[in-house]
Order: sequence, then C-alpha cells, then structure tokens
Amino acid sequence: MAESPTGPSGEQPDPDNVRRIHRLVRMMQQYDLTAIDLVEGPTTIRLRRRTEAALPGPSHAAPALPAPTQAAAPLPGPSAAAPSAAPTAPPPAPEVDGLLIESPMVGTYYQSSAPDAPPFVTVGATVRPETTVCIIEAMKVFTEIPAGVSGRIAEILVQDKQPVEFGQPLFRVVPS
Amino acid sequence: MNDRPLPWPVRRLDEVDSTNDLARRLATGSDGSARPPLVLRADRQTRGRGRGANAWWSDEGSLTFSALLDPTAIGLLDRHTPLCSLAAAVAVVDAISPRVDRGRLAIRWPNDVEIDGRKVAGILPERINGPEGPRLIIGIGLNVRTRLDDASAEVRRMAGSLAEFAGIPLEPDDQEAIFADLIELLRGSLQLLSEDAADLSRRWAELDQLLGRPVRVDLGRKIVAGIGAGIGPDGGLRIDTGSGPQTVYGGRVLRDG
Repeated sequence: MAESPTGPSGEQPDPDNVRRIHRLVRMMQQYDLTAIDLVEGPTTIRLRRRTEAALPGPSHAAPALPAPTQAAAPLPGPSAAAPSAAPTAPPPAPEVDGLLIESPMVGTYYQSSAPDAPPFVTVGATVRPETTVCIIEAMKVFTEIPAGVSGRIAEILVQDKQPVEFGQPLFRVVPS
Repeated sequence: MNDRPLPWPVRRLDEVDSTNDLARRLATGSDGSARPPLVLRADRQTRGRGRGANAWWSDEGSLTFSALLDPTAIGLLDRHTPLCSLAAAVAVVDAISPRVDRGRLAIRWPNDVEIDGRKVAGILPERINGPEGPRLIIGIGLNVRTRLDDASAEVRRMAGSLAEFAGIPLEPDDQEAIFADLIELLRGSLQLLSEDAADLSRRWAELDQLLGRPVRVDLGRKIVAGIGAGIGPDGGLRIDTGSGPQTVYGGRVLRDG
C-alpha cells in the first residue's frame, strides 16, 4: 500500500506536523535561531539548533532537513527534535548549498500553469515565501506550491509532469 | 421560487471565459477583487477548463460555476485540499439524485460524476496563493438540460445530461433548484471534510464507479493497470494489480478501462 498523503490520525505521522517542523527548521536557519518552543494545546514542539561554532563541517552547509518520518517521531509530546547533524562527530556531510523546497503531497509536479505557459520559476529566479514555484496535482486538485523561503533558485530537482512523493525535494534555494 | 437564501453570495454573469479563471483573477486582484466566499456563475463559458483534452461541453442547460473560498476560514487544512474533488462529487450526487429516476449514479475517481457510465458533471478544484493567503476555487460543471445534439459523437458517447435520466421533463426552475441545493450541499460536504468525517469518505467509497472493474491509470511515466479495489478515506484509488495492491493519488484514469 502506498503512503497516504493525508495521514489519517493514528496511521502515519501527521503531515501537517511534519510540514510545520520543516517550516520551523527553515525559519531557524533563516533567522539564525537556536531554539523554538511551540505549545499548542496538547502538542509541544521543541527544536534546538547548535550554534554555528559548534557545528562540524562547513559552516553554511544545508540545514539537512530531517526526513518526514524522523521529524515526526517526537510528536506529540514535549520531546526534542534536533534538526542539526548527528550527535557524534560525523564525517562531513555532502556539501549542499541552500534550502530544499519539498513537495507537501503525493502527486504530479507541473512547472507551469498551463502546457503553453512559461515555468513559474527557473534557475536563478529570486523567490519570496509567497512566490508560487510549481503546481502539484493530486486527485485532480491543482495546488500552487509557495516557496516558503526567500532566496534564489539554485537547482530544480524534478522534471515537468513527474510523479512526486510527500517530502520529495523539488528545488534547492540559496537563501537571501 | 429561487429566492431562498444561499450560504454564499452568488454573482451571475452572462458569459465568461472560465469561471475558475475569473475566480483566480478576482482572488489575485488582477481583475477587480472579491472577498470569499463567493460563487461565480456563468450562463455561458467560452473556455471552460479541464486540463488537457477534457473539453467541457456546455450550453444554457448546464450549470457552470466556481466557488471561491478561503480554506482557512472554513477549517480546511493543507491535507484536505486534494480531497476537495471527491467531497464536491458527493455533493453533486446528493443534489441530483432526487431527480434521477433511472440509471446508476457514481463517481469516476477522482472528479467526475456519471450516470450509467456517462459523465454528467466534472469538478476542477484549484488552490492558489493569493495576496491575502491561500484561496480555494472549486469549479463545477453540471449538465442539467444540456443539448448534446450538436456535440461530437465522442462527446455524446461519453457525456450525458441529467434530463435524460429524469422521470419528468426538467424545466429552468428545476435547474435553479438544483443549483441552490448543490451550493448548500457543497458547503455541507466541505464542512464534513474539515471534520474528517468518516460519513463522507464512506459515501465516496460507496459511489465508486471503478470498484471491481478493470482500470488503467496513466501516471505519466507508467500505467498502473488492474481491478479497482476501492477509494480509501485518504482519497487514494486502490488498484489490485497482478503484482499486488497499489494506491494511486494522481494521474489520469484512461477511459478505455
């Protein structure tokens, strides 16, 4: 059985929470925050980031967004998710500059609003959080995907009309 | 009649290119502006949409409209968005079933409503990024008294009109009553969706046209073929393939089965 894009409760990590953690992790990177505590009803999300000095490897390495399953593991409850690298001194991570924009759902990736329209973004384009970068179609619902970050598109990681999975990286963005 | 209050304001237009496109222009401020909720209803669409070759045949006997909604205001989360097709399809079925006297009403996953295998309604939801946040546009085309005489043989084979399956002739007033019912039912269906109501997913599972039938879904790079094994609560179409069950969330259901 394929993974659910909607995550009925109890079966899978709640994609909303996974997505929220991804956003928070990006925000921590973007604004250079070292800690975020978010309490909403029974759910507590605590994120801690090492300071730049303590980080092994290249100081501006990618934030290494955790895979959805890892990110969702600590939920719910007052536990910590560390978005940084592994706790023991790891071998230097493969150097990837920038942030990743990931697919929020299972579906088909479209680079433009219509077959004859220009792509929403191309490599080198500057995006803001609200900039539409692509459309994901799932069950004939066409969803415009916002960048969620500010920066410059460094790489497009998928091809037009390609099926994509939940959490699959779509773009690499060099933050501004 | 037709004066009954509707849950959302309706703006009626003689002719537009596509009500979904107009809703988008209004939501993004490129053609005036409009605050959701708002229903844009056209008596005639010159360029009704449907991606690819899904041309939509319509005339004054068709209901064509788009609901422009603020998903946040009606409690719909991101994960609900892909389910709007099925939720709207259930609303269409409920709106027309009292007028259908013969034929089997069903949903052809994920966004068509059929009677006896002929399409009477199509649904095209979109979620866009407006300057004031995300907006949901749910476009619906429903053939009530549509004359298909002038349509191509292929359209006539695949498409139908509600009037063909009704026990009594449908009048313009019936069309108005169906519109009013549909708006009310669409609002209710989206509310059930926002509540993750099992009743709603049970309905779309019961109405599955492809259940137990041969089905082929074109995913672009490959075709998944097998026997339809149900629409899940997450909206995915389960297919029993020769090599085991598979669930698809996208792609195009091929009409040749």
